[in-house]
Amino acid sequence: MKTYEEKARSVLDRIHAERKKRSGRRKTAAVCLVCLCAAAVSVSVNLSPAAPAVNSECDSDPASAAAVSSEEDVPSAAETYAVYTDSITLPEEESTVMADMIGCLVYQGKVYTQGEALWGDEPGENDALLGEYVGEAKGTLSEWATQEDWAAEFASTYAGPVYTVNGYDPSFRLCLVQRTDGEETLQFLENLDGIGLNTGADLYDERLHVREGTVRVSFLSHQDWNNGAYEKMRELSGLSAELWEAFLAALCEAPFVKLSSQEHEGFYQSEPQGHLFLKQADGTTVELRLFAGGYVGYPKMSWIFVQLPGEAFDAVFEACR
Amino acid sequence: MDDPGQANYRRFLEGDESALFDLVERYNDGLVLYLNGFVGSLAVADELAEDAFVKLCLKRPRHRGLSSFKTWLYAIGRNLALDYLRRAAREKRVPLHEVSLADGELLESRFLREEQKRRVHRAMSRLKPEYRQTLWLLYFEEMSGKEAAAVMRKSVHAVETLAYRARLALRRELEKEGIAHEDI
Repeated sequence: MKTYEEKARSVLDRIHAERKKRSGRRKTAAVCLVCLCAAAVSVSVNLSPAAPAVNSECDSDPASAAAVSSEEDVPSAAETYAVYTDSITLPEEESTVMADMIGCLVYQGKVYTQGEALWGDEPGENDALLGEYVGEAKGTLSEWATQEDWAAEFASTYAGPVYTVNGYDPSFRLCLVQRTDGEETLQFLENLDGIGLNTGADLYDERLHVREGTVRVSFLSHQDWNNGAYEKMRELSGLSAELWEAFLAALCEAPFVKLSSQEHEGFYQSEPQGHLFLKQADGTTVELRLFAGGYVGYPKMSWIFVQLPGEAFDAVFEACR
Repeated sequence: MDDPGQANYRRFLEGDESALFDLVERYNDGLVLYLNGFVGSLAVADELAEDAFVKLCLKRPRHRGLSSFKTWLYAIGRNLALDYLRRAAREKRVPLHEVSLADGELLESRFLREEQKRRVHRAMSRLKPEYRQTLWLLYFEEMSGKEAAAVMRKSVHAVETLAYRARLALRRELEKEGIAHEDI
């Protein structure tokens, strides 16, 4: 085995050799480009309306921008909405290395990003959720994927069969099935790519069906959530059915708002916070993150929240801390 | 998490090649052991770790302060390991150099200085690869759930569920050897 020094030298040698090779290639490419320009040929591989740039990191901290870029453009549409989630765009720089630290799938020109995963101890355990087979995810996206890679239908960071999900609109949620070591995982993929939203109902009721589907509610304190202590998740008790219903109603009625990251610096690190897990009758879970001031967020929604009035929000916020 | 690799990586990008020596010394052993969890061969893992350093230094990803150097290095290493496994399924690939049993023990003892940790690591080797990788990132590399999720390309929730299952499986393995490990 190489010593540290030998390995570092070997890495350096390989870097120098590769740079030399690239510099040679660039000279050749420049000559070819002149020829192409003369022939007035142009080729574009941009995805329309925008190619993806899923940023790195995880799904709850907008500073680390898991799912959406900082693109502020509002898609043109006949109908206007209170807010639009950010469109996922591909950065123009040569390297797309920032673009691929979260699982995603390109389907019908939209980028679906990873949501919840459901494990089954037995193959077929979650089959009731599987709808129609829509195609095979290619697993072709990596840190080094080119625009061309991203532009392909079913380009993805995962490989495997993709299905619609029973009970959900395929323009919002799809699922990819992964089978390893006899276990089966359903990886949900959600399209939050430039969608328009007015009130909480647009997401929580129409897309996620939480009003009719929620069968159990659990919570984690912010400290436990931060430490990943999911075994400490407890059922939300001490809250009357009326108060819970009032919370759900307010969640659906409240308008979506987009906060300014500059004006709300430190918001995601603020305390107190609460984390709710709404178990659905179909076995899926909807996660909500509660902040002081009545703000409720959905993972990967960056700076978009619904803001609930005090009386509906406070009782639940208190109960989950 | 404080990541001293970031400063060294910046030095390297600014042209100070000696910073690479610090990076290799700081991260090589952990990365090799982590990748060994995928490929089951220290020789292959050692080569893949070198490939990961080369790739990171050549591509020069922009950190934008969003992610630690270590998270990127491990994520790239993981991709390389998965690529290797895909290729290995099609073609029989032989590592360019051999790693002896003594080398493996040296690597392990250099990185895992406490005997208790080494016993846990050996018990982990009997777990499913995904459990091994999750436990490695969370407990030996002391990554946060967010960082491990970024490396493994899973949601934080998915990683925590995996970690929970992995801990139960590890406890069972340790109990078989009569070891009670309160911290797991």
